[in-house]
Amino acid sequence: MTNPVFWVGVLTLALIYGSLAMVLNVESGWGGMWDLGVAGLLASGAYCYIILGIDDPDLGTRFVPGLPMWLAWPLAAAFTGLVALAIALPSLRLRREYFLITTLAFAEIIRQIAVIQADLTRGTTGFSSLDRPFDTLVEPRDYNYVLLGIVAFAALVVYLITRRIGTSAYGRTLRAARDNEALALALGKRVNRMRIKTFVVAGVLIGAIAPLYLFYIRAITPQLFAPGITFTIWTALVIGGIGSIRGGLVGAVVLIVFTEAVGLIEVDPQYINILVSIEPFLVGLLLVLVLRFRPDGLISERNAFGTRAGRRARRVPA
Amino acid sequence: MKRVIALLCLFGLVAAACGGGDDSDEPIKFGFLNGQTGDYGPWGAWALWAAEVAVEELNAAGGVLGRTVELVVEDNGSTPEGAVSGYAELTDVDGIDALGGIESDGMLAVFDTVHEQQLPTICSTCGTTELDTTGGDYVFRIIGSDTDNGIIGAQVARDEGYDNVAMLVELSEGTISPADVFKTVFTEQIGGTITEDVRFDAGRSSYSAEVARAFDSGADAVYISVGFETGVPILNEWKRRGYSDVPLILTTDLLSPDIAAVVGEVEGASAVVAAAAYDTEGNPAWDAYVPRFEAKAGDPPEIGFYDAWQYDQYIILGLAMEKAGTTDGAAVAAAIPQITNPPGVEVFTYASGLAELQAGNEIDYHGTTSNMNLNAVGNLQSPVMAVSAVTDGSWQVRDYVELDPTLEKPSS
Amino acid sequence: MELVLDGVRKVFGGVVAVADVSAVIPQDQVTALIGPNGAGKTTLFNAVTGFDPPDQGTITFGGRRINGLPPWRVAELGLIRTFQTPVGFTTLTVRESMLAAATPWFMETPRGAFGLGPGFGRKGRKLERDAEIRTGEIAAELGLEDLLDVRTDELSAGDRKLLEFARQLMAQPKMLLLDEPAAAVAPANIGRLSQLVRRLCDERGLGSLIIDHNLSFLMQIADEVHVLDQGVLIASGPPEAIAADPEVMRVYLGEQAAEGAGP
Ligand SMILES: Nc1ncnc2c1ncn2[C@@H]1O[C@H](COP(=O)(O)OP(=O)(O)OP(=O)(O)O)[C@@H](O)[C@H]1O
Ligand SMILES: [Mg+2]
Repeated sequence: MTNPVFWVGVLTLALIYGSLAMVLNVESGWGGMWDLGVAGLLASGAYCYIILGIDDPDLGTRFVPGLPMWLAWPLAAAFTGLVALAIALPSLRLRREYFLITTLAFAEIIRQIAVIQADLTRGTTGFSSLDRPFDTLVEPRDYNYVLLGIVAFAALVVYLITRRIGTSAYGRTLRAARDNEALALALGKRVNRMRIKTFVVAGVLIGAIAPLYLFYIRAITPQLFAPGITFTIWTALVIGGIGSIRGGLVGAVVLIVFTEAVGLIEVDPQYINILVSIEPFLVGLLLVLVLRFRPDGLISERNAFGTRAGRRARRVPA
Repeated sequence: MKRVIALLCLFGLVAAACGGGDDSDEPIKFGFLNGQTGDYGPWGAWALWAAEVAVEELNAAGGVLGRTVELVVEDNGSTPEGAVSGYAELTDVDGIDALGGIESDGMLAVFDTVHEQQLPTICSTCGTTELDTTGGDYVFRIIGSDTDNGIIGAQVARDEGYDNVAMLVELSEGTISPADVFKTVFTEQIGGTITEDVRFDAGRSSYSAEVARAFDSGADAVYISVGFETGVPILNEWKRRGYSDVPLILTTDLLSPDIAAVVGEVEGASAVVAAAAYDTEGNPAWDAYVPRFEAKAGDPPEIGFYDAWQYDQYIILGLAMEKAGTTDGAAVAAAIPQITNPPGVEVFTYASGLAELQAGNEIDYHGTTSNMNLNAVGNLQSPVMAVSAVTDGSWQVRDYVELDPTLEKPSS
Repeated sequence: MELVLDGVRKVFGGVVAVADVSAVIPQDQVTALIGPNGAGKTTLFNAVTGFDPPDQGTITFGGRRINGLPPWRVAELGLIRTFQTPVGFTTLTVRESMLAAATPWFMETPRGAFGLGPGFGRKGRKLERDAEIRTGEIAAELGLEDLLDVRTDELSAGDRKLLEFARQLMAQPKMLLLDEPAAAVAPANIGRLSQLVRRLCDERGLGSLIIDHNLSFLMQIADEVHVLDQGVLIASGPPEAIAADPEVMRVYLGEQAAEGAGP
């Protein structure tokens, strides 16, 4: 291997995206809420975490709460849940296409707020030189391994949470209402409330993941939360398989590792322009190939929920 | 899951095949981490051409420390995330010895890592005010800060002899911050008076009340910091109300032909804009750079594409490394201000600087964009600014000025 | 307990889909609602179940006013309807669909998923076990036991109709509202359907309100028939009386004759 440290970084990013994609799967894959505003929720969590932790009056912000990391982190998750609630209440009345546009618009509004409310967020300057958990315990050059450990643990927790949701009666009814909302209503399902709660849960989880992304980037500016990040998460989920339990994680690892591996291709500098313009194309090609040969993603919803049922079916005498 | 692991291994193999070892016979590697795609994509090609011109110049003069220099290009997609992963690739995989090309957002994202890894880094096109106070150890900025755009307005007001200035400021990120800097520097350091500070949201149907407040306040001049979209209706209002006797100090967003056309229609009106500029007048570095860039790009250098700064940074890195006599990051970083600042023989090209260094002389590099003198926090002391005025309905550069280094950046 | 419609009216644009319909539908008998295409039958169902509330009039069930309630609330009160086209929960298996229909709301929350709600612990596990047992029983009763692990979108149209039924029963209704249950069902299976509807009513006291165009099927099982034409309730009574009603014959036979012209 080239240099393990490099791949440690790649894997760290992949697991962060994987965690986000697994959460996206809960709201969009199972909940049927096609959310294009993941970046907005991520921004809410990240900014809340950063602002609560500001302890240096010289940064020139209006508030200097100086909360410790362990307190700012859960508060950021809770705050993101509230933001999700504020988005869900008006948007969930809308049909799917409008929901897409509304969530995208909300994400852009949140990003604009981060730009304009400079006395809170320091505008386009943002914050850099962030504290990271356990960063005083190891040499900076070894910190990448620590961060990978933290992120892997988080991905495991997110996986266990989303798997629990997916295999519970709650997840089953979410999928039912996604398939046929009218029928779910006719069976007494509180579809709207259930979706609002799901959106809030996704918000809390995204808010909890947000600081990890900051630990990786080591700085925060509104630019970080441009819509591109939402599309990367969606791409990961589509590659992995919408509706499956661990599809988002697998898809993110494949997508990010592939993207970085493509970036490692070396050519003569005079062809660099061509290579650079080909890179996004190669990633697109990956997506096309996956969708061509595995239209439901590497792990499909059918496999995720079918195998268990299938095994049970085999036990039943014909 | 097995499939995924297999895939991962495959990528690992590909990566292993692509990577290289570490050897002092190997070329010296200068990283170029830049938005070749994404928001900065339109500038990407120009930036890369300029960087290539510089590296070719280094190699034509025999390289650095007797080794050839290789430009390792990494696209950051114009995002902080791309900067982080691109940076990791440049340092962990390619093992670069110095870094250039990066933009503000990306610079802030890799700032701490740069320091931890002691990588000499030049931020050639960063405007971010965050670097106003934090650079100088490993990160150096050879272009004016966004803060300087506010300071130059105050400097122009001072030099024109205006004591009382009114302000018209649109409430948006890009327009507030230069206005705030202008106001602070003009009142606190120059001793001027703000007769009226009018701030408003964009997108109004009319700005007549705002324009009236500013222009009726008895000011010698009016400083206008608004976006282009707002600038046109405001100047139309200014024209309609016949305030032509009050001169205008505008910000760079308004350095556009449409604005010049409006101003040009008004008899006796005067409007100036100060904007970043290349150091083109009687500058041998510039004269040497232009034909080589044009040969590569097919077009002459263009201030709007920021190419010349991308060139200057690699000449500086080459000279600093030569001065340090090693690729060691700490030593090279320490050498950067030594070769950009006086005392020393003023040099304008890599070859001449190299010759002086080899002769054991101190050097003071003067680049294509300015004299490159850096202050204690690694910022350019006196970026070159062009003051343009409207003549015959279009913008014409009236004169080039250096930012007055005695005017300090106010802390945010 | 009964479903009472009092002056129910629904207008779409200029079209009066349901015109001041009043009727009393006992909860423990089989009631048929017939009428030609576009008579307003489905509209009436939508009004009762909260999907499309009436413009005027009141609807009560068991003495409780239900118009204005959201569909899920009407369903919780025990009025469980089917839809004219049985799509079902396309990607869920038969078993999942049936279990989903039986799950109480408090287990369908994030809290419930982690066993933190009222469905916590032993109570929750018992509910799940009971639901699984009932799934087996009802599937057996309907002949769906071999299809439990087949996805809904892979079922035949007839089996999907049976699944509609199975889901309804899982939801433990007080009264069934069936919109064209016999459509697309093989003639051989219609007998089975009739038996089932009758048996549910006679043995368990679970009545139904059934819309269908298959008159022979309805006349066989209905205790009472209501006839709707252009939104107006033109006749109500026992099947024999309705069959003999000349007005109904005119409305209906005209329609049947017109339909007979088609394939
Ligand atoms: N959402 C709607 N908007 C406008 N008109 C509607 C709507 N729903 C139904 N209608 C009209 O109301 C009338 C009654 O329709 P409805 O579907 O209730 O008839 P039906 O008796 O169920 O007919 P069928 O036997 O064909 O199912 C028809 O004229 C129909 O076109
Ligand atoms: Mg109908």
